Amino acid sequence: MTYSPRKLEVESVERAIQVWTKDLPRPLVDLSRLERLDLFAAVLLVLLARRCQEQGGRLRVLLPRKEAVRSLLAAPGIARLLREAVWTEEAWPELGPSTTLVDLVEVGEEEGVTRLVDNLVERLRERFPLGEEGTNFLAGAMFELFQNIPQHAHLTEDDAPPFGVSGVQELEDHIHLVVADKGVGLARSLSTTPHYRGLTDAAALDAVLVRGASRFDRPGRGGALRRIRELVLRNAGALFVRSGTGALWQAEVEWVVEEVHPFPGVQVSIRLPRRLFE
Amino acid sequence: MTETIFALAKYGRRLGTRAEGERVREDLISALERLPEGQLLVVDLSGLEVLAGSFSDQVLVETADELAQGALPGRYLLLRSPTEILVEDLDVRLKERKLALLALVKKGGWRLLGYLPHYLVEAFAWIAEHGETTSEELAEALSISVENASTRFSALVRLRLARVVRESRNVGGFRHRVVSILSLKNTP
Repeated sequence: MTYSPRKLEVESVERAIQVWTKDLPRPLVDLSRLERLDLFAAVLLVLLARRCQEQGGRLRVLLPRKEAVRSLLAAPGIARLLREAVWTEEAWPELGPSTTLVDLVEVGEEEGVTRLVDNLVERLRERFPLGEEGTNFLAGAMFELFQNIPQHAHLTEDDAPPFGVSGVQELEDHIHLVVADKGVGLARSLSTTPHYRGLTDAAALDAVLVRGASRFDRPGRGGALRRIRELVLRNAGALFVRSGTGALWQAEVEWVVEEVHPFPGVQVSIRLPRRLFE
Repeated sequence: MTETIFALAKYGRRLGTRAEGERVREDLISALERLPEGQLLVVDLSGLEVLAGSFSDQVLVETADELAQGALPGRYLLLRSPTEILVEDLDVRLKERKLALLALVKKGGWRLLGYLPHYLVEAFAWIAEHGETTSEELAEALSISVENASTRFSALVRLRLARVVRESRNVGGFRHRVVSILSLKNTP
C-alpha cells in the first residue's frame, strides 16, 4: 500500500523521508490525502526532487486534493523549483488569491546573498511593520544561514552541488523561516578540523548548536548556528535542525538531539512568534 | 583635530556577508592609513538596518584585532550607532575574541563593546569622565598603586581606547597624560 500521509510538517516529516528515500531515484510521493503541509516539508520535497534528478530519475507526485495544500505548492518559489523537477499526472496547481506570504528562493553564491536577504525582508515588510528587533533577528539569521551554504556545504570538487534553498511562510501565530541544502552536512564540514574528526551527525549537531564548535580555529568565525539557537530561545521561538542522520529540536528552554533517517545536507526550521514582527 | 567619518551605510542598508566585509575592510584600512597620527576615525552606523555578525567580524573585529596588535600606530577607531540592537552581534563577536571597541550608542553615552576586564573598565570610565589623567591621579582616585595604574593605562593604550600625550614639565623632564579617545572626538 502506498504511503499517503495526512500531515507533512516539521514534526511529522521523518516518516516520509524514510519511505521516499528508499525508492530513489523514482519514489512515488502520494500527497493526495494531505491535509497539512508546511514550508519545511515542501523544502524537503524540493531537495528530494533534486536528488532524484541528479541520480537520473524523477520524483513522481500525486498532487493533493485539498485546496489549502495545493495553494502552498502553487506559491511562486515552490512551484518554480518543483514543477519542472517532478512528474505528475495532472497539471501543477495554479496560484489562487492568497492572503498569506509564502516565498522560496534558491541560495547560490555568496555574492547573491545580500540581494536575497533584501528581497525577503522587503516581502515581509509588505505584510508586517517589522520592527527593529524583528528585522535585525530575521535578516541577521538569513545572512548567516545563507552564506553557510556556499561556505560550508560544499568542500571539494567531488562533492555534489549543495543546492541551497530558503523560504519564509506566514502562519496564523508564527513566521516560519526555512534554510536548507543537500550538501556535506555539519559532521563533514567539522571534520576538516582534526579535533572534530569522526563525530556522528548527532554529535556534530550538539557540538555546533550547543557548544558553538566551528571548523575555523579563530574564535568569532563560525558559531552562527549556536547564536541563532540562543536568539530563538530568547524570543520564545522553536528551532529544528537536521543534518545527515541527526536532528536537534529546540523549543522553549529544552532541546533534544536524536538519530533520524539519513538525508544529506543541513535543513533548518526556525519558527518565530508573530508578535516579534508586529 | 577633527573626526573623520567612515559611513557604513554607503555600502547598503543591510550588511551581512563576510565577502562583502572583506571589501569594506580594505576601504576601512585605507581610511585609517590616510588618517594623520593621533586622530580618530568614527565608523558611523547611521542609516543601517542590519549589521550581521559575519560582516561586522570581518570589518570591525578584524580591524580591532590588528590595531590591538600594534598595526597603524596612532590611529583610533570609534563606533557611532543609532541603536543598541545594531551592535548586539558585534558585541558578541568582540567578546569571543577578547577584544573591545568603544561605541557611542544613540545620542550621548559611550559603551564598551566586547570584552574588557573589570579593572580596565574602571580605569577607562575614570579617564572618560575626566577627559585625561596621569598614573598618579588614577592611582589616588582608585586607591591603587601607581604601577598598577600605569599597567592599566598600557593595556588601554594597546587596545587603542586611550592615548598617551607626552609633555615637558616646568621642573624638567616629561610627564605623560593619558587621554581617552573620546577626547579626540570633535576637538578643534
